Amino acid sequence: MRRQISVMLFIVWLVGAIFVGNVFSETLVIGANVPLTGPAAQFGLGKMRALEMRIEEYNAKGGLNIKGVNYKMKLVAYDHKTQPGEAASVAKKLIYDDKTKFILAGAVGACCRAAETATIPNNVMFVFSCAGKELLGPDKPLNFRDSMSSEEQCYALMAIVKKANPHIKTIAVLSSNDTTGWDSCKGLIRAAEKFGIKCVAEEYFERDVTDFHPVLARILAKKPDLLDNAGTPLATGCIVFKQAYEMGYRGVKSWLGCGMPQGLVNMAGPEASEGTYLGSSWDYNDPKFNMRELTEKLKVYKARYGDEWDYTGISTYASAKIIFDSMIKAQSLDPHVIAQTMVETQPHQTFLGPYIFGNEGYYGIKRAGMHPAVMGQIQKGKMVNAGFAIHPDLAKLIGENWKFPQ
Amino acid sequence: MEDLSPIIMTCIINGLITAMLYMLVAVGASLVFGILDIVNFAHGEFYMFGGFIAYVLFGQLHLNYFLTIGIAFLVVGTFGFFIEKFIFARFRRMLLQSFIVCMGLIWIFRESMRFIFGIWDKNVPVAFKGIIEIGKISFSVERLVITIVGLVLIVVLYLFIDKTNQGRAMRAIAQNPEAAALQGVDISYISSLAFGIGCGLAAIAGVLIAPLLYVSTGMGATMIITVFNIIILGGLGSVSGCLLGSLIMGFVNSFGGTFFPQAVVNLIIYMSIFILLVIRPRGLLGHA
Amino acid sequence: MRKQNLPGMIPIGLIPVIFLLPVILPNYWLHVFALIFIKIILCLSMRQMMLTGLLNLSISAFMGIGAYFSALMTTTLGFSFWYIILLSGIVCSLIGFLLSFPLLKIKGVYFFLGSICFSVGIVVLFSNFFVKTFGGMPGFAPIAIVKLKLMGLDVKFTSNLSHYYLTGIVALLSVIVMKRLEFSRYGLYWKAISQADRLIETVGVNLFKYKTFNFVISCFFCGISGSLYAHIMGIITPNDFALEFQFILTTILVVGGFESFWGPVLGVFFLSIIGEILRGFGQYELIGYGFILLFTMIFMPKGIAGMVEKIYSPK
Repeated sequence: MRRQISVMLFIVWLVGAIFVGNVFSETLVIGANVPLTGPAAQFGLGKMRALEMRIEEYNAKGGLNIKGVNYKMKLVAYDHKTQPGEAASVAKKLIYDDKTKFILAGAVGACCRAAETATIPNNVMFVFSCAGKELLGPDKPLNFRDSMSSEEQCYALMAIVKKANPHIKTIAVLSSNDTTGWDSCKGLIRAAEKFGIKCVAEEYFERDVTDFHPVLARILAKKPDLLDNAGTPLATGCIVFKQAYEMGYRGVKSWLGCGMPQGLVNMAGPEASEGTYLGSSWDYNDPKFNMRELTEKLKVYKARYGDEWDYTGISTYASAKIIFDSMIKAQSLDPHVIAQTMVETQPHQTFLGPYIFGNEGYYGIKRAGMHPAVMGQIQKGKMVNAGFAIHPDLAKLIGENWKFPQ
Repeated sequence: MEDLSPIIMTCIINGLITAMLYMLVAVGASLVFGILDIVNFAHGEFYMFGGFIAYVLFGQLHLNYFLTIGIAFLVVGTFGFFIEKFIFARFRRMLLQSFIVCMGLIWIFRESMRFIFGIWDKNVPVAFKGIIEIGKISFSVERLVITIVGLVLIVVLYLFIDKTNQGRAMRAIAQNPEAAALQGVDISYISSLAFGIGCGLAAIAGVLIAPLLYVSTGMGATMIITVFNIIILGGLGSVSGCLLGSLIMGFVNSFGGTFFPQAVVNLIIYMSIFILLVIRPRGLLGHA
Repeated sequence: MRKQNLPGMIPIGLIPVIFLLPVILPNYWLHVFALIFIKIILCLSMRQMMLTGLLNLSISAFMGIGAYFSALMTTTLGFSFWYIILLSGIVCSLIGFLLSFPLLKIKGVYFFLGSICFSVGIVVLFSNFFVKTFGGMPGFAPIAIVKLKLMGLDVKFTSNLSHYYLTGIVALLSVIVMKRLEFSRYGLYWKAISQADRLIETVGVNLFKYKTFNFVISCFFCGISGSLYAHIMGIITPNDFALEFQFILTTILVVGGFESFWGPVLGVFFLSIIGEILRGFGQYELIGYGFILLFTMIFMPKGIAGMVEKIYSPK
């Protein structure tokens, strides 16, 4: 008798779980294919938390209402351990097991290339922050980049640096030996040339090198006016500047891909970091170059997670909102339709300012995220905003004279 | 042709400093191999512990730098002693099994530190400020002090192995464990002691390097490959071989890295080690 | 003697299971199994070298050579996969043959270290040299899809199901070949070499010939697994074949038990499935792995196969 009752209760529960749940709300799985361990873990965690916060916000408002059905979103994040093989497996798991059509966080060039071997044939939207020309293109219309890569930023950085230091005639670039590094260096060299700055050294080093005296000795012998760390990861780049300073370099410094300015001051020391121009990071508290919403949100992040938020995490937070809003606007969960809507309804108002997907000229399709690029500079151990620049594609939509609201 | 002498001087000084740091980490691994006959891949992780101790005691709590070095040696050394006693002891002379144990320990150590300290690399403030400029060459006072400390420690180690009873016992075991046992040497205790000392020295190296670079959970991984190159070069189990190997490696990296792309230098190093293993496996100064 | 027979009889029953498994496996797990089959070939070839008493850590390096060779031949030069997979094996065998002259002269721990050197060197080679051909650190992608045009069939091997069967069949054939080798005259000599090499030479057996043959066959299987890996992943990077992967293979070997032939197979299944389960634990995955290794070593030094044998052996 007892067994029959338990069996019936089980069946009732099963039926309820399958049907009742679905009538009033469905689940939309949002995937994240990020490094949570390994050398690139700092990028992965920020992005995963960005998605976590966004999804909570939308779920609190009742989820996404699409064609009469309420979709609650669920974040499924896996760690690809900075290994491309794992990234490919994780992408397949997200697509086949967790059945998602949206992988909205990705990092590390080789891992994204591995993941797209699964996302492209399955028409899955894939949003990531790694640099690289081959990651975006008309043959992969569902690939989006949410943070501004070197290609979009180096022009702005060179413009601001040259304006403040007109004497600069030569530049030396060095970076880690990966897609971000290659792209950053080549982009910087191209941008520098437009300002009459010649490249005298272009060096790449393996990810785990910590002694830069040999390569710096080689670079400094060429006497560059400007030394740029291009796409080097945070800790390594700090060591580069620290050792360059110890070796007597007193020229101008810039770092296109520095994600955490406070880290730079801490690790390289105030003297070594003084005067460095930074792309990809700026003083988030200066009202002259920021949306107030960004400053507020950073405080919330710090309070909740106890960590500083880096640029790639911030850009994921902005792009997720654009995607979810586009789903609602388009009233569809078809990635292609949403992608179309995202591009057609720009510019989007985000806490980074007006945000668009553009740079069709370089990639052949409008998929590179762009917003007003603020360049920072370390002055007296603190980050100060040196200025900002607007990419031509963005200027077309918001006007050349756009300024941050005071 | 540009004036090469400042570059060459920089290479020499840099090579010496790098060699000193390598030596401190490598000597522990060499000792362990000589006495316990196992290849300890987890050795780099004790170096990493030293770095984190520096971060906590010197960076956060502002203890005296030399005191931190001492504490790191004692804490990590003792920890190493017990790890050997309770875990590695079962696998003495079993190459494959001890290798697997090392793998397991590496993952456990690294991930635990990541949980405790978070994912961001940690900064440790400079212990000795200032930059010395001699002509066209400049380097920091910090590096100089570290080199001196390293040299002192190596001399101390030499004296220990040469003069003390425990040191002699270690040499005896390295030469012939059975004979040593017959002479009354407590193999178990001496093995654990050797392991502990090796780990302690690696920890000191970690403390020394922390202000120069940064502290991260991955620092062991990058160090261990160089360390193994050095002990193969010098001879597994030989401390003077370790010194020679460190100097060679320090200078090769320093000169080679400046005048050739690092990748070429690395490839040449690996090929040379390979050839060395074929023609003279016991290394430059190792015993057969 | 009896102990060998029970594990020996299992394979025939397994063959239909392997063919029918996809019916119940979810799609993603077909991909997991494809990787399992590849790892089985690699671990068995590593174990084969251990029969002669050599701990060879260059298995992943040879896999890498096979993978890059295969990717280049099919993608850049357009040859058909079906010839290239065999050719990858042969190329790796040749390289292994050349390498055997210096490498097999070293003994014990020095061979171990030498194979590590070779492994690391190969990764440096593929990361930094001939970057235009091999793709450098970011890797080589995309890799051509395997196509089969046969008797009116036109199949593209893009789905997880196709990967499963491709790797499964190659793995099955490899297992059969390696098992027969082990229980043949060659296997006898190999096992004898690990016991007492000087003694055998006095009986007039040319040691070196058999050691070399062992090494060359090992490399062949590494080469074909590399080729399989390249074509089911679609992208290969130098780090896929670095020491980390080699450590995983070694771990599998030890946890599974390297004394019996089926140990590595059990090890691959056990650790791969544990790995997938731990994936849900995000940040705790690697630490879980570490503890599993430690406990296995302390409580099951002969691995899983050892435990199985203990259960089945007469008390």
